Amino acid sequence: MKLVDQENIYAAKGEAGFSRFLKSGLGSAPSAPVNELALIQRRISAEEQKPSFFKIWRTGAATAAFALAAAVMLAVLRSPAPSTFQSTALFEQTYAGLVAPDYSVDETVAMEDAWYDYIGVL
Amino acid sequence: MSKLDIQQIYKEHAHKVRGLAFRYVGEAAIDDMVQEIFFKVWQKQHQFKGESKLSTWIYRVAVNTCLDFLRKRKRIWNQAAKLKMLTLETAHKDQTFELRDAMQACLHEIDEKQRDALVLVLLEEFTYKEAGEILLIPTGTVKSRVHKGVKKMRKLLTTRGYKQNEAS
Repeated sequence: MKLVDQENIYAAKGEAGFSRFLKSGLGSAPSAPVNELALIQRRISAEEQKPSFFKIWRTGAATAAFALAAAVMLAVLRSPAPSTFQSTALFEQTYAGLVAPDYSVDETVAMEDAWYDYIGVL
Repeated sequence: MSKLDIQQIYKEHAHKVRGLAFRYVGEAAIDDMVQEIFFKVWQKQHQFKGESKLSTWIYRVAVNTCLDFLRKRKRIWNQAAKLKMLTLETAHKDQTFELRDAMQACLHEIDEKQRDALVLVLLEEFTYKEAGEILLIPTGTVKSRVHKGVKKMRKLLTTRGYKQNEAS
């Protein structure tokens, strides 16, 4: 059995004595490196440079909203307005009829009447 | 709350925080631990509501950071400790260092709650009341944990071969 002569476990009566015993036995913390505070500040500074979760979330939400708006606009623009499309097609057809030499006068007049009727409907 | 002046906080509390970290993680990891503690203090400053003294809150962050570290490294530490004990048994070492190693090992063997109380009260000289505020437990519980911790430490040291000097 080993003997702890200087301040042994049982000689260190009570909590105060045991505290002294422990402290002398365990020693004290080594002194801090000189640049410790600078290292901590550097780490904090690096963290501050990082975009926060809120910033990331806000940017992400803004991007998603923009993409959604763009998609909606594109869909609207790409879907043709039925009346405009139909009237244009009919006009082209009718105009082609008017100038086409193969049609008789009656046919041309009938087509012209149909065109004006259509325009009237619109 | 306005932003904490980390430089001022470091100047005021580094010594005590360092001592505390040393008791938990030992010499090898102490520098990293101190940095981690002050970083956590800065990072979690919004959690300080002024319900306790700033120093109490800082030491609470310190204790929790050390405990987190120990939990994460428990497996590795256990392996290292086993190796260390093996070395202690086989190699002849200076008695002071041998006792120190044994004490550190015993300190890590006792119940975590008892160790917290013991480290704060007996090693870092916080009052029972302060230790209670740091650990968020009643003063009476701190006293009881210190008492049990001391008892356990004595027992562990005895089983490691440290016995009462017959002369005392």
